[in-house]
Amino acid sequence: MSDRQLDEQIRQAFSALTSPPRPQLDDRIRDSIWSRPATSRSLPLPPALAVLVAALLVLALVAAVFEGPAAIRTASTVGRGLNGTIARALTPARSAATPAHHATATPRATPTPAPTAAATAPATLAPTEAPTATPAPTPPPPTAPVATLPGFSCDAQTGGGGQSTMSTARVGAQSGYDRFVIQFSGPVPQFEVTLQSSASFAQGGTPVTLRGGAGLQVVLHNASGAGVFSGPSDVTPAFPEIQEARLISDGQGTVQWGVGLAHAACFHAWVLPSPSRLVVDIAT
Amino acid sequence: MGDDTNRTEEQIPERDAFMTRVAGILDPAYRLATVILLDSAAAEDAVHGATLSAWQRYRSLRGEVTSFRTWFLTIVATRCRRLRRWRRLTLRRGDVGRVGGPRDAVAGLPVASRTTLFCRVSLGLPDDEVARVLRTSLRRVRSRTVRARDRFEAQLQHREEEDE
Repeated sequence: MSDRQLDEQIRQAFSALTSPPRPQLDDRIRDSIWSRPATSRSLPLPPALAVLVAALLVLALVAAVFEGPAAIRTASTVGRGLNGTIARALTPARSAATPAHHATATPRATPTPAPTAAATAPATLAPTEAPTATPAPTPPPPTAPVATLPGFSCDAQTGGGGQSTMSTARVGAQSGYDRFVIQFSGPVPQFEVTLQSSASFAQGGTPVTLRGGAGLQVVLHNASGAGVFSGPSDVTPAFPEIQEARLISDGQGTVQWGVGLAHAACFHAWVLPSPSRLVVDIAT
Repeated sequence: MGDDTNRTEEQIPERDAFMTRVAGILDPAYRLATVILLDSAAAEDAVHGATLSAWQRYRSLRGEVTSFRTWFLTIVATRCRRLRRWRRLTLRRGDVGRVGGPRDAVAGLPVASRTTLFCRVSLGLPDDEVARVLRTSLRRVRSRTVRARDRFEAQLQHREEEDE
């Protein structure tokens, strides 16, 4: 077999092995890209400030050599003041990159994992001044999750309006957040998304417990999925946050979804058009 | 309220440019992911994740990517290899066709050889670009290509003999 014939055979074999991407992949990418601005460029230090910082470091070094520790303390005091000045100078640019959260559902900046645990760890691990009579350390009291991501909040979020039918629902895991999406054939109806401390939901008076240690209740008003909804009514993806999503009830114009979460985490509920979707991102 | 609320004047052309470039390379990228992972659903997830990752880096590069194709395929290939290591994906016959067909001959090749052969022959990338995409040496690309060709040909001949 000649090289050309062999190459043709190989091409055919790979063509048979692979297939073109589904159109849904392109849609999925577009959705994600439009809902996720790229990370802001790193802010370059203004040249004058850079020179000043460098000069201060040299000054501290020289002082350390000739004057001893007292001079270093003086230099560090000046340095702290300068750091404050630099931080104030850069603050407007940073806040412009991370807009404040509004209660209405609006797509916003990239959710990036925030070092919440790292920030709180030193406080709980700090040694006490003197040993006490109690041998066992007292665990820190449970704290409510802190909304550290732009656009994310732990408070109830509402939005939408109008009347619509629910066509499908899906879940996805992204870098920094898990996503729960409900798609509608009309406009996104009025919704309320509420965080709760358990994964138990009321299903017609009967409690239903989903997987996970916390939950998100998604209530849609003036909505229905009867006869139209083609998506799954119960999924257990075992993502970092979303453990389960279940259609709890659908009747009398009100649809209720329960989302079982691994932990109580802040979220961001917003809508996307074409097709209309309610998107709930849960910080991971 | 919708997609456009998220756009800023600066981002609109940048995103449009990025999406246009991605659309032009999506098919080979997805096929490359399928060749590495041998699982169409996993390949779709990998390409999706790789595209988001690429978009994050794209702005920091200010769109100044010498070869978008090489750069993007490198991100996809790297992500797929990492996924493969994590999940230890195995060949799913239902996904890649019947045992004994020519496609099974390429699917049965070791992943490094298979990927190199795909990039070299199916995508038609030159050796140096394949080396960059797969983050390996030029020498290794050449040797893998030769070995993979030989192995593929041997498997085909073996099957023909069996059929006879």
